[in-house]
Amino acid sequence: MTVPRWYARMLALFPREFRREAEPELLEMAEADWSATASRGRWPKALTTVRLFADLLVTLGRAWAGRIRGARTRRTGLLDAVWQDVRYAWRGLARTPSFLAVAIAVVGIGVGATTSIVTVANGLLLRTPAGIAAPEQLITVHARGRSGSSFHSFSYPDFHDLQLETAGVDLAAFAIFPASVVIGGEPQFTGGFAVSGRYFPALGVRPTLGRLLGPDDDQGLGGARVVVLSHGFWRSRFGADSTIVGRAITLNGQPVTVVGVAEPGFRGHVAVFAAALWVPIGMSRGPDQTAFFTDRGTSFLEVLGRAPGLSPAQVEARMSPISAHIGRAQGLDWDRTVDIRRYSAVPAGMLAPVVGFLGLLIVLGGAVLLIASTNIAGLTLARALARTRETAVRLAIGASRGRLIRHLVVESLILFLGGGLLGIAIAGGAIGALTRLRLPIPIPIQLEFPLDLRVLAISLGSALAAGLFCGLFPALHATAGLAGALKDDESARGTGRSRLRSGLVAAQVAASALLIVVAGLFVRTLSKASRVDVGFESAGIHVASVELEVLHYDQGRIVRLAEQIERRLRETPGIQAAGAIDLTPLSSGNQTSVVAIDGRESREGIGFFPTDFARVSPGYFATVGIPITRGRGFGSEDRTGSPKVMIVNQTLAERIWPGENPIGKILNWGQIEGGPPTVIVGVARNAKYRSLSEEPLPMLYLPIAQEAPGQSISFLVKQSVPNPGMAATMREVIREADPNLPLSSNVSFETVIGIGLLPNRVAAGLASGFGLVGLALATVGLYGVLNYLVVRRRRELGIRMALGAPASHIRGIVLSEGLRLTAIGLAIGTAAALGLAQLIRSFLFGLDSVDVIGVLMAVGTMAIVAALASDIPARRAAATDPVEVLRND
Amino acid sequence: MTDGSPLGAREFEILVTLVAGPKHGYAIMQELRDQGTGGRILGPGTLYRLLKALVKRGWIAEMNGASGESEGPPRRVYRLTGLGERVVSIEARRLATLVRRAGPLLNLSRRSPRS
Repeated sequence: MTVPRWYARMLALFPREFRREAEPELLEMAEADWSATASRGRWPKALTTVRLFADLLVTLGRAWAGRIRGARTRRTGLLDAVWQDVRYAWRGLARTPSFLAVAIAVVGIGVGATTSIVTVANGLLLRTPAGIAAPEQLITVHARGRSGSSFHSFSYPDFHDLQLETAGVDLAAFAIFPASVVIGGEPQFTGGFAVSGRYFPALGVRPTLGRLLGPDDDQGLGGARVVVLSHGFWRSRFGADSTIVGRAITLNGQPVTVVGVAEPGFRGHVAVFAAALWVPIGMSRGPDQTAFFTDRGTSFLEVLGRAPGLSPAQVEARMSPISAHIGRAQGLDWDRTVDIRRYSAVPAGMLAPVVGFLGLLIVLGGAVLLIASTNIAGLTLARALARTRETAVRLAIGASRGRLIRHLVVESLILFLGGGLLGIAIAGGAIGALTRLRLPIPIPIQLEFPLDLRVLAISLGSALAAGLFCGLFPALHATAGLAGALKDDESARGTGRSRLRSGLVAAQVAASALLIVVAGLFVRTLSKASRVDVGFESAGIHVASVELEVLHYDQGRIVRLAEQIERRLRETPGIQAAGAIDLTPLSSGNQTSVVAIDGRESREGIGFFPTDFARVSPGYFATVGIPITRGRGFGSEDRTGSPKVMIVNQTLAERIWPGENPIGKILNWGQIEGGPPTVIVGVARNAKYRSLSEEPLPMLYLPIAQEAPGQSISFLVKQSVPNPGMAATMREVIREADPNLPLSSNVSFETVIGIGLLPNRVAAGLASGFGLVGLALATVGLYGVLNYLVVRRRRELGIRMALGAPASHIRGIVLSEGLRLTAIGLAIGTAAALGLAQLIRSFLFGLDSVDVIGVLMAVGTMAIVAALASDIPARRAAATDPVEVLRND
Repeated sequence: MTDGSPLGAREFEILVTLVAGPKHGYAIMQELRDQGTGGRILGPGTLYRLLKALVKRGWIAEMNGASGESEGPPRRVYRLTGLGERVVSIEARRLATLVRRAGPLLNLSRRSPRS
């Protein structure tokens, strides 16, 4: 039996001299100790392990302490002094444990706020998804539009030409692939990517089992029906079954062979989206959708590539001529260029809003940290000033000023180190909660934001920098010009110091004003959004959406299914009305088309009108409470074979036939020329379709029975009493109709609307929470500085009163000082908040660029709180007894 | 920290292991384990520290013994110094006196065995 390996490893932690001297002997002794017990069984062994470990820890501590002591005797210098400072500072702090606890908690909150946000930013923007090799070589490729707009996708033939013609770049294409996998008889909706043959090789991903997809699988429509599973999906849904390779699973209603499982950790190349599987591009379309593989105008592929040794600009220069050439081949009369960017896990088109939103959150978190730091600086200054006498005496008997400053700085550093550690713990908790968050959205997501070394370094670094700052300035001020301190001449000093304290308080007020104003803006956005007239009923309505695209059903079958499900729902007890629409309103999506009519021109002077459209069942309008203002709604007579009909909304009617009755008019829809002529039978009242903030949009409705939806259908039911079991009821009805139909969402309509407001809710919640903490801290700071002012000017105030100044005048002096500081802080903070509001305007819909009411509310709140905080010291000042003051003097 | 403090039980036990002759740390450890008085077992780190303290007081001395095997550095051997021998014998005598005086107590406890 030899000594356990950890013992030898731990010896590496000892000071070098100690190791050289003692290591062989220690190992021998440990061996003697160990071998005596090791043969006796598990418990003695465990006990000995614990004993050896404890013994080594104690020895380690002693060895380093000895080393430090040794260093001290050799060179009496910095190390010794710092060690002493740390002990001295700790003793000083430990004497006022309540201050210590409050200070650490305050810093902890500030650091926790910033660390959480920086962690999310780091996870989204700086970390590459696991499993991708050499991500710095990766690029994304987007087509540019005619006007230079970017982030357009490519068609299948275009991608193949680009791939063939571009030397030195390994290009891969992908498209989001909604998938329904039958597991244990139950279809489960999930998502993945349809990918080209070079996707896995370009990303450098390896398989855990079997193989990944390669060029042989990428044969266009009708190619191999194979799938690669993600490690996580394989483990969670197939119990990590190692015999899965070669077996068939039911994917989107068809048997598909599993050829492999990707390496652990690889969940695709897009942040947050956790891909469950990958299939060849050919499988992403139905057998009749050949246009996707032959038509250059049908763009559905995103492209990325590996370009070792090439900058994005070089790739762009290489690829743009090819792109222009391809564009000409498809009949464009302009040179189409490409937009090459460095790969990031957040899709290039979403990068700007994500960065903007995270930037906003970082500013908010930073404001909390600023408030916390300035608060501690104020407290440190107060402590330093309270010890003025002690400091002066120490200076007088020969302590150097540098030494005194060092003490204060070390004290502050200890506070911030403790606060930083607490903050990291808080951030860990917050991130953990975020990871466990389940959003009611149909796509598989993974919110995984590890607290890595980079983030920890940033957090602790910023905490220590703040600590240095907050210790140094008060220390410099507190130790300057102390000559008068021993003479107890209060008025001879302190103006500079009180200016610093006042400045610190004004900074806190400014930072919390920033938070409160921003919070106010977001809260007002939310309240506006909740009061917005959406044009239909959302209360008590439940929505279940099924994905049709994955099943490739024919139109007749879809219509029959939809009608059957709607009928069954209507017969279910507790359901007042049921209807269907192909795209749930306000679910962050939209579909647009065009209508044309001879002789009419749109506002843009072109011969057709762009409009949103939706396919609905006859029951839809009654279910969601959209009234038909003219003509009729859809009925069971509007079927295939009968004349084609449509309903327009008021906006569309107004645009095409201002002031006329549109009923009976005929429109061509869907194509600029030669769309099917369709009769308008009704006008529906306006509603919101895409988002709560939109202006009135033109909309046209088509009956599902005449225009079968291809992608998805949402069934909506109106309940007489909101029933928590409705989701289960709807799942049951839909499963009965067709067990293969995958449900992509099954929630209340209000939840659907709420998802669109999620960023606003997050920002409003964070800004309000941070704002309240900031307000509380700033109030305490203000109270403290005014209290100090009263004490310092006690004699002056007493003399004033003795000379006949009324108490109200004295109270006014203190109050006005408090309000002056508040006003300065408010001015700065509000200006900063308004500047910020310009940058985040896209999140603040429904508000003017300067929301006067919101700003006034925030400013008013702060002013009232500040006045209350100032009044207490002001009253105390007014209660000063002049006789006592003058007697004591 | 032990400098100048009176001889402790642990130090005494270590000194006693060296009465029979010089030993390696390894052997001291073994002997303390096998023939110790059943008190808390010393960990290697603690034993090492106590040995160094005893060397510092001049009660034991280090010598580089011949390396037992051909390989490795010569192993350190500890032996009692003259001063150390006197300290052990004085302490032993003191303890013996104590034991003698506590004799009746031992008999007493023998009469009422622990249950």
